[in-house]
Amino acid sequence: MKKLQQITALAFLVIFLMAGCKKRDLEPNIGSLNVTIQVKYDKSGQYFNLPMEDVEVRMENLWTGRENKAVANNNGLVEFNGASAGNYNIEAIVTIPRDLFNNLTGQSRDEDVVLSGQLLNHTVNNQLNAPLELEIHVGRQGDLLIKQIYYAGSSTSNGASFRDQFLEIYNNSNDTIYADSLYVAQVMGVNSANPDLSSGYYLTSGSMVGQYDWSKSIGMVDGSNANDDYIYAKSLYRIPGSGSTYPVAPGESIVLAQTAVNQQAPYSNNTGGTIAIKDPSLTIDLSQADFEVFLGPYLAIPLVSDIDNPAVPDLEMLLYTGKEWILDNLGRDGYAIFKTSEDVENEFKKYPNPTIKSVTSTTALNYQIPAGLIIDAVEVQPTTAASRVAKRVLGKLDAGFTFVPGGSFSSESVIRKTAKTINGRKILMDTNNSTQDFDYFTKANPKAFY
Amino acid sequence: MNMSKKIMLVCLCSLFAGLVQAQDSARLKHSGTYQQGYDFYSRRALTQPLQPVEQYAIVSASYAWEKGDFVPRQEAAAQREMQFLTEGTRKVKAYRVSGSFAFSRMFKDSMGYTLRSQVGPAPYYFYSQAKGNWEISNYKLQGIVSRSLLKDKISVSVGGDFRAGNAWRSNDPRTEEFNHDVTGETAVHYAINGDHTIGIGGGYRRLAEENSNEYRNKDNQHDATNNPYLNRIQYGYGLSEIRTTYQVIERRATGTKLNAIYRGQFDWGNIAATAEYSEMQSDFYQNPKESNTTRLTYGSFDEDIRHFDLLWELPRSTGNSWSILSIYQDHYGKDFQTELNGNNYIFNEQLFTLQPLMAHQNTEGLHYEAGMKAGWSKLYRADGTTEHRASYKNADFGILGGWYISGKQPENFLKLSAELNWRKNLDAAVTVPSQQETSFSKEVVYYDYYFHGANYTELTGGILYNRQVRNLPFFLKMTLQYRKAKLHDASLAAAELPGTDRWRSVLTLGFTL
Repeated sequence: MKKLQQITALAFLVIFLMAGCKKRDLEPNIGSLNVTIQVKYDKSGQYFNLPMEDVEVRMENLWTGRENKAVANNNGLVEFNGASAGNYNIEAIVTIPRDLFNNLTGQSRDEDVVLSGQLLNHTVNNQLNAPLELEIHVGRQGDLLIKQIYYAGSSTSNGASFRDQFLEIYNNSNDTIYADSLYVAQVMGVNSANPDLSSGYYLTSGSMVGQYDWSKSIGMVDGSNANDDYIYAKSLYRIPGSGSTYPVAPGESIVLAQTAVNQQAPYSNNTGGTIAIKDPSLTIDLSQADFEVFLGPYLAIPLVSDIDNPAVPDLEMLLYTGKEWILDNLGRDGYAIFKTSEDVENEFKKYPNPTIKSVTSTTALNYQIPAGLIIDAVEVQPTTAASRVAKRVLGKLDAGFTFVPGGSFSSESVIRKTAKTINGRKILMDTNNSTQDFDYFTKANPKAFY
Repeated sequence: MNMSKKIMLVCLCSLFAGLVQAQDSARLKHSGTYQQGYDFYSRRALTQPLQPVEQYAIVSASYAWEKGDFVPRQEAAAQREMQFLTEGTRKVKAYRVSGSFAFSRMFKDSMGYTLRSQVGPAPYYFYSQAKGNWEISNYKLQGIVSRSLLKDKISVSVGGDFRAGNAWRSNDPRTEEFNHDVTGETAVHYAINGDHTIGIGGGYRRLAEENSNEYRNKDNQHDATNNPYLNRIQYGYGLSEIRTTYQVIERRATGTKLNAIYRGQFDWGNIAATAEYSEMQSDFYQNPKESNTTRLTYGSFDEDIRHFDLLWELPRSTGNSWSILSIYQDHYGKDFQTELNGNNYIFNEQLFTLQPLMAHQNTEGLHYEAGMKAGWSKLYRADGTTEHRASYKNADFGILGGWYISGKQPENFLKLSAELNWRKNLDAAVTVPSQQETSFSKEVVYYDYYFHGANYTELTGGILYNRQVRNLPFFLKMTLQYRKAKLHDASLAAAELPGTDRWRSVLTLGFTL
């Protein structure tokens, strides 16, 4: 009986010991973190004399929606104590009064100058053991601005789906500008939210982490500056004209449509069929657009909806992707406008994206466009934080990003805010941070103001 | 041990053997004491070799129907289930074989705030506010074989359990769910002498699940503004994120368990006690769908379960037979959230139940039975990032009884049964900082506060008719259950409150062997 008791006790003891040895906390160990952010002016060095103490830093937790703000000290350091771990958009912004800016930089600006920068979808957890560096930039003050982007499209079942997309460009200056030979680029970038950073094809640090490392592209010439001084276009179009064909008056704009037809009414497609619309209120009339894209001549089998409106001039195509000028309706895109006297087709280099291992006649190549030429650029991102992708537009061109809250097929567009009105002419906001500069229309509205 | 005690034990054993023979009658097989004992011994490799029942089988088909708004937020307001079940045990020479097969098809109506078909302790699941209808199919196959060796001094047993299921939700977001769950276990027993046996066993488990959703109406998928169809991933019990692309969660889990048993036969009854410790680690992730992308690991969830049960039986061929089953289980789980690089979510559920049953047999056989139920439970959930905490303690008490009415032929009989249960909430507490309050807090956490914190009364009535048809004892059983709750008188601003009623009825047709 004694032996029985011993063996039985031993067996049960083993179970109890196994059950009892494991630590069982009832409080999660995710506690608050102390996050330090080091704000810096950009590498050009021309703004190093500007003060740091008024830079406001905003941390928005993308999971909980909580937002914290703080102001930097003289050295550009900002402390956030008690921040919870999570995914954050971190943004720094400062407005330097015109006179102070001009005194300290020797430049002659007409307006107060806004400097800003952003870290997009950045993970903050207990692995963070050094200050987060955040660079802020002064953007180029453009005379022509991207004013409205209607990338979302309208309902796939009751609206026009992606067929009613357009982009609007605005003359923000007090002089007439000719749109002739203005280039419109869609910026190439990574469309996956979780690229394999260990593959070597992607940037692994900096504010564009996860974006293509273009220095790894086959044949890249200017490798050391490939990621900082250029953007790469996956589609490129040019406004036609002799140089004085298409004037844009101050406060006026031009609309570039995917297909310049009245999307609210049935119309004939290019095979003789009819494209009907169930709910015209969801979409728009683009028959009065200033330009359109027509890829019919270039494709063996174009989209049936891609029809040519002879009353609307076509954009000149230098590079297309897909079967139409389709703006990514999820929002994984960037748009840039520029002008140059160079022969882009023959003098600008084209590169495959870095994941391409060999170039053939069918390999998609992307125009390399110097950032210095860019008049204006806007980055759009998916509505939901989890779907957002690495930033593709350089921070010095657009320190932020914008999106429509309703997401794909919502009929919503992003629209640049009006900063002020002078003698009836609206001056649009241009801080080179689209997070600040843009809001949205619940329904896209060509040539309307916010 | 003196001679008189040995004689008493031999008598008790012979009485028990007689009861086993008597239990072969259909009447005993429908009794609570018989089912309590059979279930205790037949389901695990650890206990199966000690199963006193040498031959038992049941084949049944059932239809269950449930309706009423007194349910947790993430459960269906109404559901129907059809099930086919066969299980049994047989001893052939030195071998004892037990097995079961079950197939069920369930329809859940208007289930919202979750996009997984079964509510469970694990985090990392999709949810949308929109309610939808589910079709769920489940298969379960279990088999255990044991053999006695060395003149019954040693016995070894091996068993396997395979479960597979699939489920579909027929409303946006349209969800598909597939799972399979395999467990292998073994045990070895040593009989100290004829009256005392000890055993030790272990097992290994692998589980795989995949849950994905898509939209028929794409307009619903990306509208982030106040959209009840919007797909979110729930990381715990409050922390969530909108996810409108790549809506896939895969789960892979492995687990082990170690258990031990002691069974002794005494003059005051037979006792069997088991202790089991099991642990399981689950990884939740999304495999890459494009080249040059990586697996997106949401996190992991570690669970450990401590389970102890004790069965005391005092069987008699006439007069009162007694049985008491007591169970204590402590289920603990904590996650590791990959992006947060820490533990965000904790789950803990503790249960204690005590169920004494008595069956009275007269010369005609089983005449009536009665019993009681007592229980205590604790449920705790914590979400670190959003500082959500929910804790509930409840006490349960119940009485039950059954009356057997014989027909003209003894094998034909009617059983009438009734059960009355009460739940008394001992403590209910939810804390959510106002700045962390989300729609999930109002729609799920606060709603469940009123559900888990409610007191209720539950009445169950049953009628079973058994009739011998061509030497097979067929039975038809109907039960009807009604639960009436009284909700907490609290001021938490839930978006909606649970109802106070829940009905359940089951119709079963089958036969026993």
